[in-house]
Amino acid sequence: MKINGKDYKIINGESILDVANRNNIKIPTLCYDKRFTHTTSCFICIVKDKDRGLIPSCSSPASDALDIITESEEISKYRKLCLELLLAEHDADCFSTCKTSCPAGIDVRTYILNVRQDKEFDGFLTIRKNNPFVSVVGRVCPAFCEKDCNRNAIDETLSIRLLKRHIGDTVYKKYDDKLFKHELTLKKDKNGESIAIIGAGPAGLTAAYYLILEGFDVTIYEKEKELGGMLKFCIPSYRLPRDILNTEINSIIRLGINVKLNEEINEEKIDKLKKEYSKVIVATGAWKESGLWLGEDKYKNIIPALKFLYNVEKKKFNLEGKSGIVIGGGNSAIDSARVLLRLGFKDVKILYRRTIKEMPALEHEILDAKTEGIKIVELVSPVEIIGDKFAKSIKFEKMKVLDEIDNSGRAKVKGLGVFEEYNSDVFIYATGQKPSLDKKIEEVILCGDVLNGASTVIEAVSSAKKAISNFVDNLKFEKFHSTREKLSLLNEENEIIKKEKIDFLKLNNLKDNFEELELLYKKESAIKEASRCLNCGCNDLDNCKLRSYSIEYKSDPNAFKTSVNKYYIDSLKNMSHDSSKCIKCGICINVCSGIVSALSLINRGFNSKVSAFDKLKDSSCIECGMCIDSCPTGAFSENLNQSTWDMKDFYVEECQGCVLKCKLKIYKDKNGEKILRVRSFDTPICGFGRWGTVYGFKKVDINLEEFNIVSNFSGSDAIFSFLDINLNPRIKYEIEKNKDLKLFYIKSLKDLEKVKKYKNPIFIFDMFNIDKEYLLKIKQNKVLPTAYKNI
Amino acid sequence: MNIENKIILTTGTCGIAAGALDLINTFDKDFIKITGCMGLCFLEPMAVLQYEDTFYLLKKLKKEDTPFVMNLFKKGILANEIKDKVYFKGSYNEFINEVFSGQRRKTLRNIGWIDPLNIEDYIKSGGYEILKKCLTGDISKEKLLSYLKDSGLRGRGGAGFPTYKKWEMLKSKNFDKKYIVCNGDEGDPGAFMDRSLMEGDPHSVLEGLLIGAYVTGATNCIIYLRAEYPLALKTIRKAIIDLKDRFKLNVDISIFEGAGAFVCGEETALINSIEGKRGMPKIRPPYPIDSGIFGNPTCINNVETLSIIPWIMKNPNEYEKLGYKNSRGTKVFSIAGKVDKGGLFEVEFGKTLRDVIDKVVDFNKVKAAQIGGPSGGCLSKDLLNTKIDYEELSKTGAILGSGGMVVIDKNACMIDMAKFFMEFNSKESCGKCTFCRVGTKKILELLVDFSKGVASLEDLQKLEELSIAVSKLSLCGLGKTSPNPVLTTIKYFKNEYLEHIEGKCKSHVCKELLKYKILSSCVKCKACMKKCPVNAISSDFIIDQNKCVKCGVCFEVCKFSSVSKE
Repeated sequence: MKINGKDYKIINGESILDVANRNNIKIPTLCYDKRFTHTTSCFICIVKDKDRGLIPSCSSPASDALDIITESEEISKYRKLCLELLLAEHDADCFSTCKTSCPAGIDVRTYILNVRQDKEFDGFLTIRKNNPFVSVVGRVCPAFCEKDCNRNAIDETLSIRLLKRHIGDTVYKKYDDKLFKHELTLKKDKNGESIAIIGAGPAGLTAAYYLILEGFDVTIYEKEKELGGMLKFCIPSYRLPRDILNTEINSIIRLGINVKLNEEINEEKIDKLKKEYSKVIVATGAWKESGLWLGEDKYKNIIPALKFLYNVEKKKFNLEGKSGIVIGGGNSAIDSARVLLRLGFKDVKILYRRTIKEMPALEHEILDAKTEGIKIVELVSPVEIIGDKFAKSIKFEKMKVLDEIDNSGRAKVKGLGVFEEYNSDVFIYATGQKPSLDKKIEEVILCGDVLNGASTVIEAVSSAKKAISNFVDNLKFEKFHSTREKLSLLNEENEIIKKEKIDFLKLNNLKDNFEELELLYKKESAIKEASRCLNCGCNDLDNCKLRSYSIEYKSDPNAFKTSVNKYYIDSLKNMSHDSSKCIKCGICINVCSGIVSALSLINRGFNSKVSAFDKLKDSSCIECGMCIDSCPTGAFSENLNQSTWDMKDFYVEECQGCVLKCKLKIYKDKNGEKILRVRSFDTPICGFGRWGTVYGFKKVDINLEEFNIVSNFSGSDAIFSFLDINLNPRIKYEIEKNKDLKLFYIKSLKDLEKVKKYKNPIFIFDMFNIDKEYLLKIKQNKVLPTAYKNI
Repeated sequence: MNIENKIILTTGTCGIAAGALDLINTFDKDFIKITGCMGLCFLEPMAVLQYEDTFYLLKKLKKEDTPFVMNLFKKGILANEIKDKVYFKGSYNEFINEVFSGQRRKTLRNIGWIDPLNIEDYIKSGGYEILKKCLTGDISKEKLLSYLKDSGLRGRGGAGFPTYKKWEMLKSKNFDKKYIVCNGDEGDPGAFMDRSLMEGDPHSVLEGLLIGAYVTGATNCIIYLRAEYPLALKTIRKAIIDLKDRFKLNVDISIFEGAGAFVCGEETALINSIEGKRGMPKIRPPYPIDSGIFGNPTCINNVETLSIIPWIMKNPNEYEKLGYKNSRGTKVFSIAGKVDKGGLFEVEFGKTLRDVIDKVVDFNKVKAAQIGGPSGGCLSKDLLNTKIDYEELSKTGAILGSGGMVVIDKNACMIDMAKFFMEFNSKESCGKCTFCRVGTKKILELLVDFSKGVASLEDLQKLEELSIAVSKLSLCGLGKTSPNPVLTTIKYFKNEYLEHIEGKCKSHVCKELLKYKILSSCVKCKACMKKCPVNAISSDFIIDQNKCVKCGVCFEVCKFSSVSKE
């Protein structure tokens, strides 16, 4: 037959796909498994014949009359469409929503699990992979992850931010030295390139951290005499204690970053740096403040918020008075108001042109401000300053929120023509920030607020990573992400578990008290809270054929995702079945029909579903896990305690569970320490070996070769099994392959009589309970032992 | 026609549903003959009276009418009280020409006239003559096959494959076991010709099947019948027992009850079902004729095909005289939808669809017709002049299929029609292949968007592209033809799709696009207000559109036509 214009020989009974596979011509398929007859389900394997048009290659018999092509624009178009249809019923998240909603893409799920396992250090490293600021972000992050947490559908969000803070603070307190030593080992050898970073705020420090680990020579230039930028000068210390901040910054700098303080960089200097360094990164933030446009500059007691916070931090201020007014609704406005209280002001108001609902500031910050006694006046906008040199009062116009949305995505407001005057000793305005850089500079890399305008710390981190990912490979993030309807995630047994609340410091007098208010989780509380995590996201990304083909054919996961069927996850002790991920390829049904036939396809049309009649636990399922190995989408998967998104490639090792020594594919975590997953290699394996290996059952101290026991089916003539043969897919497989092999299930000592008849019997028994003496007896005389404790 | 002074009561499923069983008990058993449906379902419960040479066809009978009917046999005259129930009166030939005007009843030659539960009745009408010859060996297999070949008969199940070829192929197979299967898994909404045949003339089907077994050398005969046809099942079961008994037959005829899956009418799915597996199609080749039930050669024929075969064999060289080009003979249509005379209609190939529709409804009221069941196509009025012929119909995008014809009147919305058929196709997909399982569902969802007025021009393109993909890349015939209703409505009624994009449904069928309004001609009688189930009508006679559930009660109760649909 002809494939892509070349002639190929056909072996009798082959399909087009067989011929192509044999000749290394790649045709994608999801539902074909060479062990079984085709099911012709997925239709991704379509090829085009000159006469017959598009045909599925898996089930079309090869014949000399065929003249096919395996790739063309038309074929790709239909494969893409086909994948999009499959993705429409594949109601599953590739990554957990907490990870995808995080601008920096932190693997939240894993570090939460680390907390649960009492491994804060591991959790810290997980966070650092995507974000160097653990304790800082654990305090000041708006926590996009919490808004998207699937737990919201059951009760309320997991306290992700507080757990992050718990990890950060615990590690700095207990394992700081260990961290330093460990991170030094992560540092790659110097690559000879040197990079200058201007600005030591969150973006600049993030770039510095990842670049130093990658082997670059990094020098950071900062105009202040301290590092930290906005973190230090604009976030008050009751929100971000300075000792924590300094420890965290130090944990980055100590990796070998050169620091140049008090270095104001102008254009001229940048040109110089460009010559000295191979790359220059500019991360100077957004320090310029929008004004009120009311001529406020000439009044001494009207101060822009950043300037106010900066000067308070530097202790340059000596503001006096009793009343203060802050104009604005962002975090800086709230911060300024709360700082005013701490400077001794009694009557502090925040005036905002929209309503509290529309305030961009963090919700809990607004709440705290209110609790501390700050009044918030909604729907007023400043129009006129009254007084000379010293502002006595500001006139505000009453506003009304309209249904329309403005360019920034917020509701438009309109003046009502009604005015009110507000008197105050001090006025602070926090009405927006602009990037510190006025004009474009050629040949430098911009990142952080200077590029994007004022935003959050985590967005600055993300921006820095994105900027350097152009030349740092392992920061690239695969964007393809299939999504899941929120509510369909739920397991039937999900119960409502209350969020672990955190204590707050109670202060009677705020004056001059900049102590942190939010207290730490106690360890037990942290573990409890972490246990609320639902382990969202997929564990089979690396094996997911649907995903890899979808990326290859550029399918849009949401092209047809309009309605989905809601299924509960069917969980057993070691594994789960999530019908929402299933694409009905039918391979699992075929695999299982050779073992226990627990599975079948039920219902019709879009409601078709692979099912074990009702629940797996009530079926004949023996948890051998062979379905997991063959599932193209991870609908069947292991119950894992760690996300496998950064899993190492597998290696092959013999199973220690019994004398059969089946070959196992073993996947370890990125550090090569923990076995995450075990899959079958060339033969089926039993659940005993699979889960025993995953959970690390102790190896038996027996050298089987010493006993000269056959551990290989070739050449043996009978199997004597002490394990229930019905529960062992491997034995079934060998019997099927070699019909002459006699099989005996040893239920009592009598059954062993037959051993003598056979030359090379193979004995299968549980290696964790085996009696050495017993082995010896079989080996020496093939006679019966007096007793065997398993019988 | 040899009928004595008797009353024929047609009690097919349609008759029973209309109340025919109530009638039976009111008559003297000696006077009545119980038959299957005559194909005049719109008259049920009906009766044919023969008094001397005159035939009366009475419609819509009630049990109170019995004494008046009996009047005819006692006094020789029909009582005045039921004069208005006489649909027809005249000689037998007049009966055939008038009641079955426009029809050529060959396949339907027996239904309604013979007692399906009485094998002698069938034999009396000339049945089993060919079977007897087969049993004695008086007629050769080759001869029968040549009759079949000459007749030009093509499979009536839908695909139109020449029947003699199938038989010839099965005959040529040298296997220990060979199967011949009668496919009675009629599942199209609006199709009921197979059911009527099995209920009304089971022996014709059985004779056809046994002739087939004789000609092809099949060792096993199987009748695959949907379990939702209990009367047909009962009738066929009795017929098999009678047949075996009457001719001392020792052949293997078994009945398989289908579990109600539409897809099992597809031959590979049917085979899976017979084998005890889930009814899901397999890819062809291999065709069932090469590898069917448990790998044995299997020939699958439709009920209608088999039931005409005894007639063809008895009247060699007659059948092919009827027909058009490569479509010889006649075809039975089951007529449903917005018609006055729903029922069975057997017509010669080469007549137009309009010829049929004209006989059952005022053509002026017709907007379109869905031909070929849910996977057929919706043809616009001008295309109804298409000749009834396998090839001519395929050209329009519809298929002849099993012969279902749903007539659609002017009040129908074509998007709603397409939605109805896609809902059926999507539900009945077996779930095996991607394009049918997910594709049909997504087509349906897009159609729902149209019916809600939220679809865009891009959606129309998406709908068409997806439909084409589903028709190209589904595994079996069901999937491949399932988007036909959408493709043909897009082809012939594109303007309606465009109207729905603009948020209008001119037929006022799509509820989401419908608005009831009270006009200024309102006399404020409050009738609508009292009847409104959700109190959506305010005291100043304005309908609150947010509350309105579009039930249409206000429209119906208004005596002054002051409620309008928009």
